[in-house]
Amino acid sequence: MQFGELVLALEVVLTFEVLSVILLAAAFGIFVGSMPGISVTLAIALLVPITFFMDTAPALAAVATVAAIAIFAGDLPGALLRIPGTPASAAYTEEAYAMTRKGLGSHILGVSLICSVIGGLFGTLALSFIAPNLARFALSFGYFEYFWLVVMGLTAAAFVSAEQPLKGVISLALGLFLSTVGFDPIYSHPRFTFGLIELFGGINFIAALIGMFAIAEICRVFASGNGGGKVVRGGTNIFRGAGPVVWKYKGHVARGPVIGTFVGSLPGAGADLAAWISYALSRRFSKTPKKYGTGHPEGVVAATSTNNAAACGTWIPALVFGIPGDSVTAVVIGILFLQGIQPGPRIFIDQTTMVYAIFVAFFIANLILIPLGWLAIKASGIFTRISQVDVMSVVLILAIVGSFAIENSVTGIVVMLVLGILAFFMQENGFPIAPVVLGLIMGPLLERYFFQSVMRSGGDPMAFLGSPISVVLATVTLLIILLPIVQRGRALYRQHKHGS
Amino acid sequence: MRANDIFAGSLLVAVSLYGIYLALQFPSFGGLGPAFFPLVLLGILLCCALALIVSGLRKLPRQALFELDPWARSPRAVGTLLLIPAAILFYIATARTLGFLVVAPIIMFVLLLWGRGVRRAPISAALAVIFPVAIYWTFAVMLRVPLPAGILRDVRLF
Repeated sequence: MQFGELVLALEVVLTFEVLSVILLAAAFGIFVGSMPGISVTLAIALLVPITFFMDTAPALAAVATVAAIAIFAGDLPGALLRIPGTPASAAYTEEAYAMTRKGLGSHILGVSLICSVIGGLFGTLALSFIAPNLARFALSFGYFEYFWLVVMGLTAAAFVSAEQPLKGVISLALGLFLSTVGFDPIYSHPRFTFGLIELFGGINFIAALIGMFAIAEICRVFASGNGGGKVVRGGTNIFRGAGPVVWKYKGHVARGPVIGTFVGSLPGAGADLAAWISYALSRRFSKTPKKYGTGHPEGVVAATSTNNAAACGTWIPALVFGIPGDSVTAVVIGILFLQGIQPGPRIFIDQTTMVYAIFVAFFIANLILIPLGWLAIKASGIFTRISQVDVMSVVLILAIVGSFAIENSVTGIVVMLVLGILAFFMQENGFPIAPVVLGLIMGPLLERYFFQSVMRSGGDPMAFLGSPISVVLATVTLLIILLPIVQRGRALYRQHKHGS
Repeated sequence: MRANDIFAGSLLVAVSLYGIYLALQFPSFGGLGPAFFPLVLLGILLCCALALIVSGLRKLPRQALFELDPWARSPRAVGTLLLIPAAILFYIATARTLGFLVVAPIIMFVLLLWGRGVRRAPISAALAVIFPVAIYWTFAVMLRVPLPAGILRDVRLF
């Protein structure tokens, strides 16, 4: 870190122009993050034409700010309405909502805010200080390692998300299967399209996300006649009690951002996967794993700090190699080119000031997340004064518009409807929803990594365990699968010993 | 509505078998073709579905075959449940011709009436206009999403 350049960067960023851009971008980020129909990628893409008219520093600061803030904002509808604003919040939506039902809505959002800020700051520091090194390690991930990473993340999602792991696996398999609809990634052969052009592109995961979370929830609210029932938020002081909770689970707060930064820095794996891995690992290391799913902050603490760190981590391969860490950074790379900045190893030499300006912007964004997030949580309190039916009526219109807006086609709305009804019955029968969405997102990646691995292995299955990283990831996957079996076994043994 | 896992399991078995039947017809392009991944997934789904049926059978003595939540026992509740898909289907069918700013308020008004009762109709009507307009402004005007203009096509809005 060259401090001379850092000072220059500070001078560039700490101007009225850039700071006001950051503030506006932050407000935009809160809005975008808390709208389930608007993905962070869409939001950043919408900023591109605006960045044409901006200088480099404000342009990059704006993009960094939106990314950093929106990841937190996705928690707001997740906790209050059980509808995640971004897929990254889906891992702990159920948990946060369970806490809101217990009257701890403000509390969990306050906790989430603090952990998000910590995660984001850690990610920013990691980005600033160790980007090149981390990128070099991330490059040592080949097809096999990627394959195992995705398998591990998906296994975590399946086994952790449901009371009965069997149903979690079914949800995941269903999601993965749905992702195969459309042209296959290797041979471009249409699969399960039944001749419908609309299905050639596959099932859009945002429409699925909206359908499965929003529509199912709307149906549930309307059906249970919760006409007068209000969303209980409870407590006016958002931060009271949040500090002790964060301190209690400081291990997760320490571990979460590390997982987030690392998984985020792997191209293709984003905040969504990172959050799931973190949630699952936190349960593995928890002293009270039984409490997960009942409205317990531990998993939320881990996952929310992870996804904010991951949002920064995705910039590492983007800046250092010009390889996007996720779809957001893919757009960012485009913006960099438009601003005349060439991503690559030389970026730290040729464009040091601008790169440091990005780090400073991330830092500032995570700091203003505190007051802005607090405001957003307070503002979302308006939901307590409105009956759920009213809220859900508006959410329905938003859901329809959101699904339509993805590809400007009615297909999105149809997907939303069909999957929404499916999700309603699934949830009634104990099948978790989030693994379906994760399977939809990760399916094509998993298939591609698998095929590439097979081609690379030349038919030798042992190649899949050829590197130490692969072995570690495969072992962790196995542990996640065996965990419930071991726990069942131990419970049965204890029962037997004490004579039931 | 909770059904014993036997039903879910059976449904999944049927879906998996049909999927396997379809997948087996994909060409193989020499080597692992496009059918491989779906077949693996459908195989896993099939095994899990069978396990689900078994677990459902084991729960049978203790658990009822069908379980309805208290709210599901009333016809009004079932009607409410059907209201949402009906609203969405109504939108899909009419939005292109009538336009978003006509259909969305209608849907919202009906939902609000159903939920809040007929007595509060005036406020419901107001809300049913305000929100769709705000949403239209946000998405169609600011974010340039081509929401259908319908019969208001020739009206200059914003």
